[in-house]
Amino acid sequence: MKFTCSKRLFHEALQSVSRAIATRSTLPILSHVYLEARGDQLKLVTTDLEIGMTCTLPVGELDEAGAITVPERILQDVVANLPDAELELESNERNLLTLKAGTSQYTIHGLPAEEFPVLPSVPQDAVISLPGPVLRDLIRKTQFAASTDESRLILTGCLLAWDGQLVTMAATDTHRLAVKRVPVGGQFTKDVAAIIPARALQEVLRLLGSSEDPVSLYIGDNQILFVLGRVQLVSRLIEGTFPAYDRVIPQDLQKRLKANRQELYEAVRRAAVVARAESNKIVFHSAETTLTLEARSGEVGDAHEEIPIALEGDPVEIAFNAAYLQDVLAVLDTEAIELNLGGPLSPGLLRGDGEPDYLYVVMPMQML
Amino acid sequence: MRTIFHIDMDAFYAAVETLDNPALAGKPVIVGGRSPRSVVSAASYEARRYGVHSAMPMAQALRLCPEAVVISGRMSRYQDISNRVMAIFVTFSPTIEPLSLDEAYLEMTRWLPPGETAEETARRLQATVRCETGLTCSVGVASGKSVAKIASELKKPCGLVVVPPGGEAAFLAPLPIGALRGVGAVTEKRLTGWGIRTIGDLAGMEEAVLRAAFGRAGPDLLCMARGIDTSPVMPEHDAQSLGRETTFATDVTDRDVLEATLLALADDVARSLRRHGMVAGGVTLKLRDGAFVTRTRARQLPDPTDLATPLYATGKALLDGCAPLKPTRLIGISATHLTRDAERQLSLFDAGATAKQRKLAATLDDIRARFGTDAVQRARLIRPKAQDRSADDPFA
Repeated sequence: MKFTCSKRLFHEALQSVSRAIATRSTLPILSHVYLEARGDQLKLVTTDLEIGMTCTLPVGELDEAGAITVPERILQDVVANLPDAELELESNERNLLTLKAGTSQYTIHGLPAEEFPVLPSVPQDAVISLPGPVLRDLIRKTQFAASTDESRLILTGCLLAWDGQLVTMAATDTHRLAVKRVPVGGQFTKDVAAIIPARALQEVLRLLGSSEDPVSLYIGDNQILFVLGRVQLVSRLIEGTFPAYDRVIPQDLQKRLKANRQELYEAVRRAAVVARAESNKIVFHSAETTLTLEARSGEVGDAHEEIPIALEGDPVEIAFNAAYLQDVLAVLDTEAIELNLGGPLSPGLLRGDGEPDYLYVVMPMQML
Repeated sequence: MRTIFHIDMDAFYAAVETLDNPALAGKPVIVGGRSPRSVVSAASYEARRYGVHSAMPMAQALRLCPEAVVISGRMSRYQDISNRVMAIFVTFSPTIEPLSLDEAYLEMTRWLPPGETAEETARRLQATVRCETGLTCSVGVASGKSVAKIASELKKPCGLVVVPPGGEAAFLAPLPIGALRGVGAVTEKRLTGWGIRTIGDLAGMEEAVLRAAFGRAGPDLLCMARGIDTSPVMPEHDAQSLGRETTFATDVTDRDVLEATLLALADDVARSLRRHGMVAGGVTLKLRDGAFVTRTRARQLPDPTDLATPLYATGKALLDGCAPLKPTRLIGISATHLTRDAERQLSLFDAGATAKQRKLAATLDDIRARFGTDAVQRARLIRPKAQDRSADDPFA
């Protein structure tokens, strides 16, 4: 393999695939990046066996096609510190990668390309194309509600469901549930219900940045492939059935509380300073036009916050985990929110005012 | 501000002896060996009036108080009573640090019942200990361990000294420097050489001077003298836990017997959790085989609970993971990662079912409280088992 390419493009490509590197693995090759030059393209591949990432970039001059793997960390550190210039990369049969830029020359020990795991190919049964901002919104507003408890594997993922018209993304850790729906058409053959590891979605979110470009999702039985321009991310899907979340979405809640999102968010954030010294519990008391938030800690002290609200129905007294409210209030972008409540031990339903396709159900804490 | 109790049983060994032999009441009692080289391990308050104190050579003690009743100690008896006393402490706070058989720190910050002051809780604790064991204790209440310990010493026996938050330095000031932990004979001598006699004198010193004289221990000394003490109450076990275990009369190989025993223990643990208003976030299973090899397996619960069913199910799953089983001598189950029920995060999914289960458990607790533990029984546990449940250890 021998080619030249732009240092800037090469570095960017290396950075975009670096998150699928397995840093603590018993398989050393998983800490490597696979480089393959063919035609007028260079392909970079990384995988930790759960997710895999590839990035292609144009090469300047290709003298010899071929492939090699080298430790990603080393290559990254060397390239990051090179001046902006044309890079010349060359590998030989002794698994050495030589990298030249100006007067700098590095020879890095690699491993044979054949030993690198082959990323699974995803059948193109279902293909969804979404504008970047729509996918970003789907992920941002749900992914945080997924569980981090590995003993409940299914809940560490987000459900992606598609019936040909509506894409639903849902996540729950059993204490709260976030559901976002958007209308999407596409190449539909059957109902899709894929559980995507939240971690993979986090990487997709990172790759999306603020891009407006469309993203294609190829959904197979065991894998999902995201195609974002030059970069592709393939993730295994979590096997199993996502809990029937529809049945925990409360209906007919009698009490409705409207508040300014930012005001509520800031009040919760401040009260959380006290709440987190104990169990993160914040108690809500509502009067017709005022909501009082209280947190108490024997060690730290007491917090008391008041914000103006509009209340329909009887006054409310209920306790929530501050973090569960902060999470959702941070990702909503509407000016007002609506919190629908039943009894003190029944779930609350939170929505952005004017965002009917999003809902967040949060279970309260014990009120004693 | 933290609230910490230091509890010290009053003349513990001597008090236990008096309890077991009421004829000793009012008499000077000394616990210790009788040989000339023995020392006093404990002395009743009556004996202390003669100047007898613990660690004093027995010969000297008997010269001071010739009519003293000398009793050689019965450690296993003291241990038993100590277990009972500590079990009472645990009902006040799950975070307890025993210092010895008769002394413990309790982290009370998060565990003071709403509407009760620290002083009221301390009095209730003293009354409970007296009512359930017949023994008295002294309690020191303060924002830190060292001040609490000094406070508990101050008004023995049956003393209760509450040092209000912010009042630590003023409380310590008039006391002799020897009362401070960390001030040994050598340090005391050096300090008195400088004219420092009270803790207040020490608290007024320059940090630099103390650092020059005592090195790194200097600033520590100053903090201590000013009542600044952030050291945490350290439970003996990493996780706060509540457990029960059973030793079988003969080693058990029958899986059914193990499971039924586990269920009975889980029932016990769950009831005890409910009594204390706590929920468990984890379960530990303990197995000891005939060769005295002990294994423990632990698992976290998806949702904190005070119900027997999930505790048992988790314990059984852990038991399944221990196969193949050797003949079992002891089986135990502990609830770990305890939090207050009042702080429990409810779950979206089985909220209805859990609420029903809790109602049932509360009803059963009520029936048992009124008509005795055996008034209601799980069908599975009815068949009389020939197994002997000889050891019930609440501190497993």
